[in-house]
Amino acid sequence: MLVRAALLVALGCFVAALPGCGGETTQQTETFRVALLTPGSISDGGWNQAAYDGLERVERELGARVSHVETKSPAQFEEEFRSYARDGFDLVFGHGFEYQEAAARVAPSYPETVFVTTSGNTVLPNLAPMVFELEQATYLCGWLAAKLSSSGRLGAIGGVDLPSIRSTFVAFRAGAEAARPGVSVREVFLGRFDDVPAAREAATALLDEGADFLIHQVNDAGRGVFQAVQERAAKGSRVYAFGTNRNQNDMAPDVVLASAVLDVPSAFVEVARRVESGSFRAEPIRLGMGEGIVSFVLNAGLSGGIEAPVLQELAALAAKIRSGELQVPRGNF
Amino acid sequence: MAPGEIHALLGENGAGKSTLMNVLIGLVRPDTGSLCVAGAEVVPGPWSPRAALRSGVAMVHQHSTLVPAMSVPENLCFGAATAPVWFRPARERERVERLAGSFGLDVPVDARVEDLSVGQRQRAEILRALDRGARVLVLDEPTAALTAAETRALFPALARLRDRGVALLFISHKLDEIREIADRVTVLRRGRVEATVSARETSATELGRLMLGHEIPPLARAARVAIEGRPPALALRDLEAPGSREAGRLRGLRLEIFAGEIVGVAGIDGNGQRELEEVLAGVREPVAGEIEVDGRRVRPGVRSLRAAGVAHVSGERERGGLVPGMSVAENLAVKSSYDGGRLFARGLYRRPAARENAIEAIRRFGIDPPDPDRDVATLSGGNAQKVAVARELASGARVLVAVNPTRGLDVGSARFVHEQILALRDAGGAVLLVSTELDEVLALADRVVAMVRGRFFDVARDTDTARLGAILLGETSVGDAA
Amino acid sequence: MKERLRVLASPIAAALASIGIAVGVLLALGHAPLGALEALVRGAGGSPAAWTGTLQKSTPLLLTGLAVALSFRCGVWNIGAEGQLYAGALAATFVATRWLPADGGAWLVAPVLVAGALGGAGFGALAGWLRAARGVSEVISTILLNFVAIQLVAYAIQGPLQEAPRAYPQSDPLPHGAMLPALDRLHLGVPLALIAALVVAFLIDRTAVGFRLRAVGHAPEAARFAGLSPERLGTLALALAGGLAGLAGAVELAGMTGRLYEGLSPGPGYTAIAVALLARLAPLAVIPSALFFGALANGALAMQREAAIPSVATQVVQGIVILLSVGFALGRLSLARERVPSEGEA
Repeated sequence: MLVRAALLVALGCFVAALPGCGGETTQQTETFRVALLTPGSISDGGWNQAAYDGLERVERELGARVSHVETKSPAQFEEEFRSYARDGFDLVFGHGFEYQEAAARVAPSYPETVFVTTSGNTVLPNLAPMVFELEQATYLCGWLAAKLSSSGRLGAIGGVDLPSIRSTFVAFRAGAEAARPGVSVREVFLGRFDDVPAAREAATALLDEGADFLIHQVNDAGRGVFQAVQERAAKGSRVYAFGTNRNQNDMAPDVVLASAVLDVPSAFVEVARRVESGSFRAEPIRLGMGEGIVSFVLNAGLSGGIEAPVLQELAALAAKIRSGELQVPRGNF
Repeated sequence: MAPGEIHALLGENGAGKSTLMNVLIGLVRPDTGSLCVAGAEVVPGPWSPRAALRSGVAMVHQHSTLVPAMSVPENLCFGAATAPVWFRPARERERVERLAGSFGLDVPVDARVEDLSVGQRQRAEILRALDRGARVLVLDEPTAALTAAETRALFPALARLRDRGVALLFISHKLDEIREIADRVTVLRRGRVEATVSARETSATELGRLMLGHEIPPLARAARVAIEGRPPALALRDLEAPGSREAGRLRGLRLEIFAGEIVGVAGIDGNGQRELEEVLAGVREPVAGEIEVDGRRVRPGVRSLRAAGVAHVSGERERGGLVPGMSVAENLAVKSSYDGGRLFARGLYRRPAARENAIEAIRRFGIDPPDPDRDVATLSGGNAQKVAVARELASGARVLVAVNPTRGLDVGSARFVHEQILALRDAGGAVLLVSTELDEVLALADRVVAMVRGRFFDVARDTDTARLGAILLGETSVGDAA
Repeated sequence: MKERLRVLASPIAAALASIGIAVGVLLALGHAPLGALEALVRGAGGSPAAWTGTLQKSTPLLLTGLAVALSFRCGVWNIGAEGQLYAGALAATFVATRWLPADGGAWLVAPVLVAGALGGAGFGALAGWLRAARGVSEVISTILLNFVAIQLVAYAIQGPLQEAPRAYPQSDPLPHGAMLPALDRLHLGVPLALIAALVVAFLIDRTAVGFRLRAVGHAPEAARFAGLSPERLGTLALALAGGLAGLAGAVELAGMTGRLYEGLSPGPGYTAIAVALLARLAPLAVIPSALFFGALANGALAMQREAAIPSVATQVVQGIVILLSVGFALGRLSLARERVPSEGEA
């Protein structure tokens, strides 16, 4: 009996929904409409959450209508791009390199919609990747490290050996070379991004080899790097570390000298603004210090110990990078 | 039923005994009618296993429902509504001993249930029911798994329970047992009460007639027709195989069975019968010795034995190769599913042919209900066994290994199986009949060997039952290895 | 006939009833249920494009659902459709990007699909071998092998099978000829999966091998006494199931993504169990069952897109619908059993 009742209710829902089943609808609206596809949950406290924060800011700051979908598998990408494009969205973000293939298949059919992937290298008239120039900040890290190093040895600890990770180290090395030719930079890759003990061990090993400045690219496992440096500093050594991606200065205020910070939400706002204003061009959208997306943040508690001339030189270098006068070398990918 | 009565319930397989039992213990709600326990009408009313237990109706199952790894006192406390929060071993042991003593149900209180004999487990099971306040005990074929000696020990205990005012509903297929222990007998046939009669004043023939609706003629058997001079139809040569328990290990079995004879293997469960069955069915690998059929060596294995013409019927459905969940037609076909026979030509299952085949078998063996698509799991024991027998005989086998072939069957079905075995012998087949039912072995076999601790012992033709019992219990080493 | 209708009606009733309950859940989570459900239904099948999406999502579910149904019918508790799917995709990627000519014609599709099926079958057979030779429970081994397969894929796309530019953890794109031909984005995998359902149904019901597999599935001991080997047939069942799941991997690869990525199958392998159970392990019933789950997944995306229901909420709704429909279907199963006379009517 209950079953029959439930069946009727459910059937009713179906029938009620049926008149809504029109053909394909192509809505043209005045409002700017922005959609986001993320490969994972937007409550992950990291990659996907940053993108969603960006989308919310786009909604707030540009008054856009926004929509978000969490795609479960690469097989879903194309259909979701298509759905948004068909619905007349002006801009669709695919938050990851893995979206470029599907976007490239969809983009030609919907020239009115702009597709932007977070990182990637596929470019079409209405498809481009946004590329974060974190290298600009890691270049400054390398420069400052080499300036201050007493041993002339620096260390870099990476998670997975990805081109994007390696590229930040390329810039770090270049910065160091610029400050002090012949400086040594040792790179270590852990193979994963979440292994705090491994990061700590690798950092200790680099310190044992004489490195006195360490940069890392292991996300939150950077905690392990900071711990190792703190232990060494407690023994009286003058050793420091750099934070990356977000401002990690407060994670170990006594040893984190500066952070190379990437502001992903602002990047989304920046791209959306460009698309809305019609300044989108079919080329990788490079977002760095000049756009205010990447920044180099000194730890105010420690910067006092740096000689004024060095600080002035650093500021001048940063200004050159912002203005585009200085092109920071980066990995080719 | 009166308090202090042993009331037997008799009926063929499918007569409705299980259903009635399930109603009594609350598993099945009756559609109409009423049920009174101790003067109180409980049905109609909320009737469930819990309610049944509350009103004092408990069941002693055929198969033990005790936890094997626990002792008897632990089992009694386990799941009891009145169980104390803290289990105090000494106190519980003493309580169980007192309880056991008062009912004359001797049970070891320290050993784990898995180490108890079948009879001891059963007593423990009865004890548990009494411990939970049962005033009506339903005993489902309590003697089916017992040896003669254990059965003899059980009956006085039941009598004592009766004298203490417990009402016992005793379900059995064995007419002589019923006549020995029960006060009254209710005979069920096709879901109706056929009659309720006094157990002692009614003859076995009369009970059989009530149960079947017609008189059972005595089993007709022709004189032995074994043809010697030819190699034995089935020979075991110093067969050895590991046992699932030490007592079951096969220790150099030697036996020859000729065409036209039935050799009976008598023995108490657990002396190697299962292992022997498994070796001859092909699922247990012997470690030494050989099996010969018609003088030719046969590689052990289900398929090779079957190809050599050895058929196998078992009292347990699964061991008999009956697949529950598959239809009668499919079960009749299952053993030919690998030899590309008529039903499986060109790698396909020929359903229409299999159904026709089944319809023919149903007609010939009187399988009821006559539905080739019926799941064998839903057939009564007798009809399922008919399916197994039909399949084995249809293969044209000349050698039949029958192990407890009538276990759990009612008189009519058992008789049918016996007739089929005799018919095979009379047609020149050889039969190895392994059974824990001494009566069955003595009634059918031309020659009897005893199986004790994995060995065969010859039994002389004129050995009386008492002496045979002693041999089986391994008390005397009468006769030498066969 | 009436009984047949009842059997058919129960899963449908279950599915519809659970959607009714989803309304309550949405309300409880603070979302307007009618708009959300409308988006769900419209997104699942309200337009030709929605149907395309639903069919695309149903296809791997159909193949993996068949894999689970087949193995469960044979008494093998294969929880490894997920891993077998990955193994198939991995094998297909290897063959397509390393062995086949990049400029080959449409014939490339055949070796890619075959490689997928064989890869999955081999992976399934591995669990079968562990079970037959070492007595390792297939439940444990198939679950663990899922992780092995997932990590193997992760390794491959960062190592030996990584794209030539080595920029991203992804494989090279499949040669054009290896991509499944598609008609309005409905690729060849869709009819292929339907054919697979017919083949599996035929195999189970009409062939000697299927007969033996069924016998083992119902009662391994009885089957052993009847001359069948539960070990060998169990391995065969796992290999066949693996083949189907592996084919699903190849179809996703060659029909949808065109490259091997991590997370190619975020759960069709596990969802497949629900698909198979809802279909009560009947191969042909897996078709509507997979379609239902595919529609649900597709509709859930539309709920996010159009009704702005966060993905976590759509997942709750999806989970409840799945749980209820499967539970309902299984509940009916046991009810149906109770109606027949119990065993050994003594």
